[in-house]
Amino acid sequence: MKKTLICTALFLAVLSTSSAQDPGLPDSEDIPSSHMTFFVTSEPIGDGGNLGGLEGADAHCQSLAAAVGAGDKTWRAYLSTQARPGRPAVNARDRIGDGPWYHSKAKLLDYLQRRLNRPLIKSEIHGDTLAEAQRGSNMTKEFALTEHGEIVNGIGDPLPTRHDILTGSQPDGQAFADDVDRTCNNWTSNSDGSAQVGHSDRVGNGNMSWNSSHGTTGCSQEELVSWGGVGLFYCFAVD
Amino acid sequence: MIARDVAHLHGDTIELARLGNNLTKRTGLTEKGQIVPGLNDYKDSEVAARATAAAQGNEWEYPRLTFYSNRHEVLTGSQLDGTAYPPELDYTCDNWTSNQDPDFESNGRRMGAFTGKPNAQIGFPDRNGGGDGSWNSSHGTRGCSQTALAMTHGVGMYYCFAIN
Repeated sequence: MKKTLICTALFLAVLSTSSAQDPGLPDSEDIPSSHMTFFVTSEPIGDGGNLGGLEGADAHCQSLAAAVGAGDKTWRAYLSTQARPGRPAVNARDRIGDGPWYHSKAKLLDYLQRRLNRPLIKSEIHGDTLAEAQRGSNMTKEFALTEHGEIVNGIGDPLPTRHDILTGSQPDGQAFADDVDRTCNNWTSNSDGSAQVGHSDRVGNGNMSWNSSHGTTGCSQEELVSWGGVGLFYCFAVD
Repeated sequence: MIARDVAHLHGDTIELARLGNNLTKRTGLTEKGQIVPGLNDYKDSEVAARATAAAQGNEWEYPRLTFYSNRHEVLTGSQLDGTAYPPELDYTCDNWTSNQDPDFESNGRRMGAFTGKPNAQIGFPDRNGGGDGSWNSSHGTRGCSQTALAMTHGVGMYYCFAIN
């Protein structure tokens, strides 16, 4: 028995060294945890691709965060906007601070009592190097939780599918540079246009992209729903 | 479809790699069409209780007798781009001929490769684990025996591809 305990202790010690950026997580299982710096909006704004621009989207993040007691952080929607006359493009990846980011469950334990909470690393989620892009990140269906700590329904889950997440971004987190609309007219259109979306469950369209899997055929709420989304987006805390 | 071609499968360009292939939990199936159980599957309380008791000793007996247990570590011996590792350290259980383990008492069951250690590089068909979800090269094992593979949720399965 003693031998077993020693082995277990060593086992845990080895695992703990793998999360060097672990900020020292609380014992509480409260959701959201005080360390939540990332979530998927539990509900959409509900007007298709019209989010009220980046300001409206950020306010939605802030409002949802505040409703669960995380309003003391500064929240940004992970959305890009495209260049317009006199207004340069905004890259989603440049809006969200530096991370690392933790989801709403600080301490999800598996049956070995290990904490499965490796955070999101900015360079990993965007695949900044070839090796990082090939390896992937911890952005999984189990990590991409709402501010309530709930899974976002994806492929294979009960309908409606909600896994299309608005980003308007390329896989590297930058805005599109061409003239085609990818952002529902910079998140002001609920009719014409298109939104680039990723999949929170990493399944769909023949790729695994969380932030840039495909575009929608329109920007109305009905068009978003027809593609497997409801207009959710990612929120990151910058501080 | 798992992948269009070898380049799509491995993400040979950074653009391909960022998008990823189509090897997911729903496509990375056995020859019988079964999903390979992964992290947090089958969290039935009875199963979980057995897992907790058995897994404290990291016993091969547990996954051997519990079909719906986590067994998502798939042997590859490969780097992310699908090429072999250089020869200095063992990533292939001595080219798939070894069932040996290192001395756990002295090295604390470290995962991965180091000098003189029997080890295999593994990936995840469910794309969930190791903090990265790599399908072919996420991390190493604790050793090369059947019991050592089971310590980190593998049972010694591997991917099969038809070449024609």
